[in-house]
Amino acid sequence: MIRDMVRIAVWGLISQRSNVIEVLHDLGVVHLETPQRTELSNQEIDKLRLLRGKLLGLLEALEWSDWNTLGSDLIERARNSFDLPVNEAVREVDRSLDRFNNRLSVTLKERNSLRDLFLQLHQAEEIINHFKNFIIDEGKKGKNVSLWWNSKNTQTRLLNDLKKEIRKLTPVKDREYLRYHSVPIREKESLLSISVDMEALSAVPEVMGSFDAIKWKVPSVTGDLSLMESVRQVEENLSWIPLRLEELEKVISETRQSWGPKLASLYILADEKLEELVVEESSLEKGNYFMLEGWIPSDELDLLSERLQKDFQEDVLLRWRYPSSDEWNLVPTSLYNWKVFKPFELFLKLLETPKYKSLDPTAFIAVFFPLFSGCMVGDVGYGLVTAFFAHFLYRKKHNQILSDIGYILIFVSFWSILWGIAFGEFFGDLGHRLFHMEPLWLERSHAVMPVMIFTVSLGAAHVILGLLLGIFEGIKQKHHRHWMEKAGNLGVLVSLFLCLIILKGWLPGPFFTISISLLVISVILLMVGGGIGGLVESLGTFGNILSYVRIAAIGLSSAILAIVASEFINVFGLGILGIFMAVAIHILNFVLAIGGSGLHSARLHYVEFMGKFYSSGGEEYKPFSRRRSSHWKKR
Amino acid sequence: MEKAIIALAAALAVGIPAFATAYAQAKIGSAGAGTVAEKPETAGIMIILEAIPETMVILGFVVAIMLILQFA
Repeated sequence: MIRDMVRIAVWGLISQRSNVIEVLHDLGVVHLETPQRTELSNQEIDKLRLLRGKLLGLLEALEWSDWNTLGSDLIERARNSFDLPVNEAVREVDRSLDRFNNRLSVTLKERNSLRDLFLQLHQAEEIINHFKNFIIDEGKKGKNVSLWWNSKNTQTRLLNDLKKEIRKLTPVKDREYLRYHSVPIREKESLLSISVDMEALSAVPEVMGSFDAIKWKVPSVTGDLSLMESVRQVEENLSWIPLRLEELEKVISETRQSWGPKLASLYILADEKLEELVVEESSLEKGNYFMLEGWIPSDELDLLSERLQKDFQEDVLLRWRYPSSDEWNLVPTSLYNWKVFKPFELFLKLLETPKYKSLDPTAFIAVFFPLFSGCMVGDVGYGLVTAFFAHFLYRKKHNQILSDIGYILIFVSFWSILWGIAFGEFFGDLGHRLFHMEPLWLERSHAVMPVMIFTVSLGAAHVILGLLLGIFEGIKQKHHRHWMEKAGNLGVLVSLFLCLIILKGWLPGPFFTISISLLVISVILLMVGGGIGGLVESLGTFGNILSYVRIAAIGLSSAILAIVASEFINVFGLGILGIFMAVAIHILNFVLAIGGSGLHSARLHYVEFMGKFYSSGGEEYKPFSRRRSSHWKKR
Repeated sequence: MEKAIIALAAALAVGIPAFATAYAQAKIGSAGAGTVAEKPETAGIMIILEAIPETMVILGFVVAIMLILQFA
């Protein structure tokens, strides 16, 4: 159901403006007509924006994101620090934030640089591990060992040249000394460790330079340390850095826990204050008076009127009126459904908001969605498992979407159990095997056609209901072409059904004239209402009805897969393998059944059913309120 | 032999639309993922668009069932 809205105008003395806005913010029922908050700017607004940005930056630096756990009491406590004129409050908070930021940034900087260093050292250790034995052996012999990045293609030539150069530097009586160890690193590169005598050391950089090889150095190692000493230093650093990182993480975690909620509360208050300032700035001023305009659900009008009267007596004047039909497309849409249907509003959140005064399909979805979905699952065992998970999700009250999904799944599980009894399925044919469970209606894995005919009939009823709602909507909204098109569609459908019944001999021949007359009238209505497109649309309606056969198709595949799962017990026996395979297939089937049934049932509603009457494009009702929800940060 | 031909016909009735559906869903899915990343409010429309080609394979399935029930 879509609530009736009224247009209100609040007039008051300028001196009372901020108080009035605060009261409206507290009440949280008025959808104010204000420009986008980014469009307005003044000194106070800009300062608040800056403060808000700084708070968000600090929260991100602290890696705090527990918005859902933020209690109202903490926000109320933080409100006291904002109970000053904006400039003063901003200055006060800003100063404290700067001090906190300075302390935090030192710790974060150290943590981040140590993290980077640890990563680099870890990579260096991996490289060293390839050469460790070589470096130690050669070091013991008193040779000079160095490590070089070089190209794989030129490595052989490089070694030959190096050998020649070393030969020149080696006394004639001695044999030249060159040992190396190479490890390919990337596609075209390798690391080459060279061990030479101290006397031939000068040849190495010269030859390496001529082949564009680069000397590998251990990160963080300063000074001219030998490779062996560098290896030792890497090992030493790798032993103390994790301990220091742990200490720093502990400090940051404690800061996060103690400061995160405080900063988040301040952020929310800054955001709220900013909203109030924007409303204040955008209000209309006339002499000593101001005016605010907006929309409010008619059932909330008394509440607003009483509160304004109580707090401001004659300083504020409230005027209101119902919108004219010309204004309907400007009125925000507020949904109101019985508590039992409310969670099903979730389906409309995936679509554009319905227009004001149009039809809210939530109640219909609440009735048909679980029915279709349950029919596709159609298994007592799966229904019970769904009920268990649904109950678990439903209890997650801090996450409204999950809780709503849980609530919807409770209905789905209820219908799954009922359809399961009708089809005689309990984890496929396990019910039959264990306690001779028999179908109350029919076994869908054998009686395919009756189930398909039933689902198509169900689809026909659902689509006809959609068309009737479309006609009703068209007449209500005075869209003559719309209702004519829907009526023509319905007429074509009914007349062709009648023809079919007459051809089957279930109705006497004279009814044929009636059905043909109905068909002609319907085609005329279709042409007037929707032109050639209307005719095409009527053919689409038959496709829409046939589309409901998916309920049978998905149900059948689910039923067969469940039977296959139980069949594994027959094949492998009642052993571990048999039970494991059966459980694995049942889990797969359960996930497919729940996912598939939900998706297809939703699609049947979105396309086949709601496509006949749903008019989207309305503006969502967003009351000017203090935001106590998990969307604080995102909005 | 006759049964084998019927089985083949039924398999083709499901198989060909299944390929077509898969192709269409792959295209819609990749485009949809990009759209939802840019505009999360289009998620509902994307679910609808993603599910639309499945009608082909479901109707193919109906034809296959009818073939088997009528002739096998």
